[in-house]
Amino acid sequence: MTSITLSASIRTNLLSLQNTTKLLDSTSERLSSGLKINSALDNPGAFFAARSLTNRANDLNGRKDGIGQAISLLQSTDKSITALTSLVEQAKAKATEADEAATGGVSTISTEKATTVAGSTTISTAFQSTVTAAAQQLDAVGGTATDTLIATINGAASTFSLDAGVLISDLVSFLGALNAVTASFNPTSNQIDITAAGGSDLILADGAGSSFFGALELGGFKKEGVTVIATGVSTTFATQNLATDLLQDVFGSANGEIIATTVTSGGTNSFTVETGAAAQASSIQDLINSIELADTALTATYNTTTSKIDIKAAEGVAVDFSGTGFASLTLNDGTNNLVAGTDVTFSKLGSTAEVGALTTDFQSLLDQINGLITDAVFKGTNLLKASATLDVKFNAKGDTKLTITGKALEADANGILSGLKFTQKATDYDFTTAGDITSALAYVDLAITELRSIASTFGTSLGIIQTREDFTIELVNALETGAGKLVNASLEEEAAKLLALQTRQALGIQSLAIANTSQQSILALFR
Amino acid sequence: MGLKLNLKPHEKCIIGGAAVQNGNKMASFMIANQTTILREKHIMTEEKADTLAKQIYFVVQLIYIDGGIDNSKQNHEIFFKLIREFIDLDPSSIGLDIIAEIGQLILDGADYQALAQCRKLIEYEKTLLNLRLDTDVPADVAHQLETGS
Repeated sequence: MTSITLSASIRTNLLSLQNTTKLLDSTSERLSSGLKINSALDNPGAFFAARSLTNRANDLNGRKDGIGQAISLLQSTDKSITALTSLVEQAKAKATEADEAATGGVSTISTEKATTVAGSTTISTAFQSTVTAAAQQLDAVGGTATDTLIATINGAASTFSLDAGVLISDLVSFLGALNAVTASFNPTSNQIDITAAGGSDLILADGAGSSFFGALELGGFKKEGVTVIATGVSTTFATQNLATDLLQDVFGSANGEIIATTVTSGGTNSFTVETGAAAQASSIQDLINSIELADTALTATYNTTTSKIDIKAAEGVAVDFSGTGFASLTLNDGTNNLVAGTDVTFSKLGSTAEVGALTTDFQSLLDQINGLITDAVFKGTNLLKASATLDVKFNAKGDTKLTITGKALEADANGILSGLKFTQKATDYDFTTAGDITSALAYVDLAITELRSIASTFGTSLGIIQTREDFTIELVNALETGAGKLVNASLEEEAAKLLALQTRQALGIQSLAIANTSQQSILALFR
Repeated sequence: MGLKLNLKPHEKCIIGGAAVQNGNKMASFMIANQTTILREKHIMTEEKADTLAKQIYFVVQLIYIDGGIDNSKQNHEIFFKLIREFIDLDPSSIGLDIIAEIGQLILDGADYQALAQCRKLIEYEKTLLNLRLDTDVPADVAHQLETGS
């Protein structure tokens, strides 16, 4: 490519021939101004050029110190926030313990224990002829085309005809299609198992002129393992102590009865009981759904251990129940039975024996929290007090800077840590008072969320400042390295550098291996 | 602060993160707020960055498009790798001076001006690459180079 061993005279001629005289002058002037020798006297221009670079580096170092202070403050503040979070979590533990220990007040409204209806849980067929699979045809096990089965579920009747080619599995399907009935072929016993929702009444009988189902060929049905061969088999299915049990069975609710749920200053919902054929009949689950539909503040569940519907809500929520169906439910607030239309307010409280010590601990922790906030000072600045502002200057003029604003977490004149979302001062918390346990639990959760948010904000500022500090330090290092080399350089070294630069260019450029970003793809559009 | 932009027919540019191309007529408009603006003649694609100084330009361009020093941390490492290499190979203090200016402009948030300095660096590099240097220099020329006279 280029030859670098031209003699000086040829070089000059060549350059002037190429009409680059101007270039030659300015280039050699520049090159000469960069060549270094050991003292200002030999080559003043070069010496001072290096000095100005060192001065730049010193200016940058100055900026770095200010940044360093800000970083230390933010790191110290972060430690304080971690310590605060730990104290708040301890306070939360005390409030939680009080909540568990407290037995007073209303935390749950429940129904009296639901009644059960006795009955069968499963009945099955009792085929006498050899049945090996559900795919067998019924006429192969003794059935004829005139045989029919009438199934009546809670008063609704359906008929099954034994047509030619009809399979056992078709009978299974027919039975399963009945309201609230489940039927399946049991391959172990080679019989059909039939079950239905609690309280359902199922009657299976031969139709007129049919003899298959009751007769010996089919063998009738088994109830609780006992074969019943009769013209009609009637079964009442037991309630299962599940939310699928029917209100008519467990509470004796009558068709058309109304149960209304009303939350004070909240929503309301009215539920109408249906009875009869089980698919439409109202279940415990239907009542639970209607209670929850009244207001999102309410949660209702069926407790299978106690066989009660449990209704819960947050502290302070007031609810009343009413309607014609109210009486059959017998709702209780843990102490007294409810009166139709009268409000009950959810609120936990404990006795002094239960929660006295916990109250003292909680108050003490809030005081410690306030003390920690007051002490979170680093070199005169406390970022956890309202008045604090920190300007981090990124250049000497100060027009490029980051302003960090403090957070007002300290207790106000009334002793309330409102910056941490508390609305009472420490001494006002008393877990023997209705409402204080629940409010304490709510506030500590809000305080933890607030502390996380603050830590995150300061963390972002810290990240920005640290990036700038790193950049500044690297720049200073690069400049100082360069300036240091210049002072001692010789002509030969400069020539060698120039050769190296030109050779590197000749060898080709290495790829930058830049991470793929959206910004890069924008540039790619300009190819 | 408003920036008036006149685009020639079919000229491309980057405005606020959008890759824009003009239609077949001259376009003239004003951009009222602070945003990334790069005209076609100032846009360098990675393929075109075939010298060290051009690569420096390319990285500073990425820093500019990313929104400045605070948002472009992933590119800082490459930036320093390149400028260290340049400083190492630069036979005079001229490049060092320009690079110092580039760094300080980036720290000041003046990325657009930093790009202008990068262009200055490219020009300087060009003269270096085109320079023929004789290692066997006669005394009078050596003296001329050393004293700048």
